[in-house]
Amino acid sequence: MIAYIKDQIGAVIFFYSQIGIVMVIAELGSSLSGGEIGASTYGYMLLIVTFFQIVYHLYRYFRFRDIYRYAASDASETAWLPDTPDQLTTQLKEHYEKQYDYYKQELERFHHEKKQETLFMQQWIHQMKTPLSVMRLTIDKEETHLPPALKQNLDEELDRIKHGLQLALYQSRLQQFERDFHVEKIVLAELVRSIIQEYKSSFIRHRVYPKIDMDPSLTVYSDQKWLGFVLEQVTSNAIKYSQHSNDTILFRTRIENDQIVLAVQDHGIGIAKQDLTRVFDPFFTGENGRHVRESTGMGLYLAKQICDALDHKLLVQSVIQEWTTISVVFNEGR
Amino acid sequence: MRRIYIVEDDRKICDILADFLHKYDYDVATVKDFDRIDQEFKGEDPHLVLLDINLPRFDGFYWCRKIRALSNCPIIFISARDSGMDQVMAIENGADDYITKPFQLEVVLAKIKSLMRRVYGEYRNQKENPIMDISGLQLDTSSFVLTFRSRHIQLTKKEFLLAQALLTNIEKVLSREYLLERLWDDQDFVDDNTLSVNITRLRKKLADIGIEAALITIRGAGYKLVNVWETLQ
Repeated sequence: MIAYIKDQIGAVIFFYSQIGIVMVIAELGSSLSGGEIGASTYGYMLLIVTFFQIVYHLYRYFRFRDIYRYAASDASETAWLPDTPDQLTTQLKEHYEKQYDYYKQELERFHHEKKQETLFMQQWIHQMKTPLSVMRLTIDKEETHLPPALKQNLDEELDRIKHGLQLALYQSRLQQFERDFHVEKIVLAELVRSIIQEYKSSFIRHRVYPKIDMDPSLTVYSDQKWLGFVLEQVTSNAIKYSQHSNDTILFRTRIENDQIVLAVQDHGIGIAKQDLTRVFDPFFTGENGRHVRESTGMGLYLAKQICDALDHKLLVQSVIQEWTTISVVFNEGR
Repeated sequence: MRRIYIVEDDRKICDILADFLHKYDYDVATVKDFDRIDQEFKGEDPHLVLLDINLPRFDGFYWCRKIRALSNCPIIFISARDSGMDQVMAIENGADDYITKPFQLEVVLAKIKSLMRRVYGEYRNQKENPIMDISGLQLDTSSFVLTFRSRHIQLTKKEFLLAQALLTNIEKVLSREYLLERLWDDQDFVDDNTLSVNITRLRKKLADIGIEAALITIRGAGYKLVNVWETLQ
């Protein structure tokens, strides 16, 4: 209604100004010829035209009402437009629909391409896992025949490939998160142990050792695989940024404000203060990225995305050259 | 002897698995014709099947159902796919277990052993007694007792694991990393010091049964067990 009045106010003013001019001319004309038109006649004239003016605008308003209401509502989700009352809006509607169709097709094309790409990515990653297994198994088989330094080198590179593939896989999976998401009750200590096992050789190679200070009965509700991935990232970071110094990486749980917190602390190079707020940005490697070649800047970014989707909090605290703690805060209490 | 049928389209993985399982005294048959897996299964009549998902023509799920129609034999999937959905599909199509690539041979072996035990009953050690014997130095792998010239000494679990690794790879240098990996289990994360301490203890126990200077430290490389007792015997 207000929008309609705003649109029409010009026309109404113009209309009454025309009436005013007509009245002035009628007054002048009648006074020249000696006659006189009474104020009541003018009043009557005004009343009559105002009446028809109102009827006209009411009629027009009701025809345009749908369009006005539609325009005012937030209709970003549908392509539906109400019936159009006149030529101009009909043309606009046609134009709009054509554009909408065009964009929809375009979007569908992109969507399709994206899907193909994701599918290809995932297939490809799986295909790469087989040669990786073969290499790993071959090395394991020849374990005692290889010079230790060579074996260690190969192990390290294989782990990097595996880690990279894992990152790529989860990145591509993250885009279709809901499809692959299953919340269940998880015994936190067990999950942590299995991840430590997974990173066994990495720990040993870097000469850092895990220490667990966790209540073995603590359970959380989460998705085993995704949470596992988050913990893998955190663990692998902790190992990577430790300083080859027989230090420990401490896995600890505590209850804070009725929330379960799992903290992973290393005594490594730490994170510079100016980098702290940005560690969850994609591709951000910061100061440490220049020292450690494995840094992709994607691990913590993905971990953060996953935690957001799982409704966990991911926090980072650090003192440079001293320690770094990354904590997962589970949203539910006991 | 238990027979295992391996269905895997990567030749190398197939060979490595077959080789490895052979070492542990399994009879291994590998797939020859990917179009007639059910027929081959019937012919081989294995005690257990290792099955990949991505196969030429039909996938592993399909063949799993086919095999299930023929037999109740345990089936373990080995696949690069690691989504929960695939694992659910595998189990629902009749599989007993699921291993994701890249995998460790020890894991495969452990799962095979556990399934065999459950399905065909206890048969462990049917092949031989549990005693390793190298030129008269005997290690009992079931009781962790080390024996030489009728002198016995009890080893702790860690010492036993070390002794076992060293005896299996006698005269070879084993890196600290290799030994540490043997010592780690999911309850106990062993550090460098613990390894050194255990090596020292093992050395002392060897001395206690009359074997001196057999366990040599190679600086910067690791440890080596040298057969010095052969001449003592």
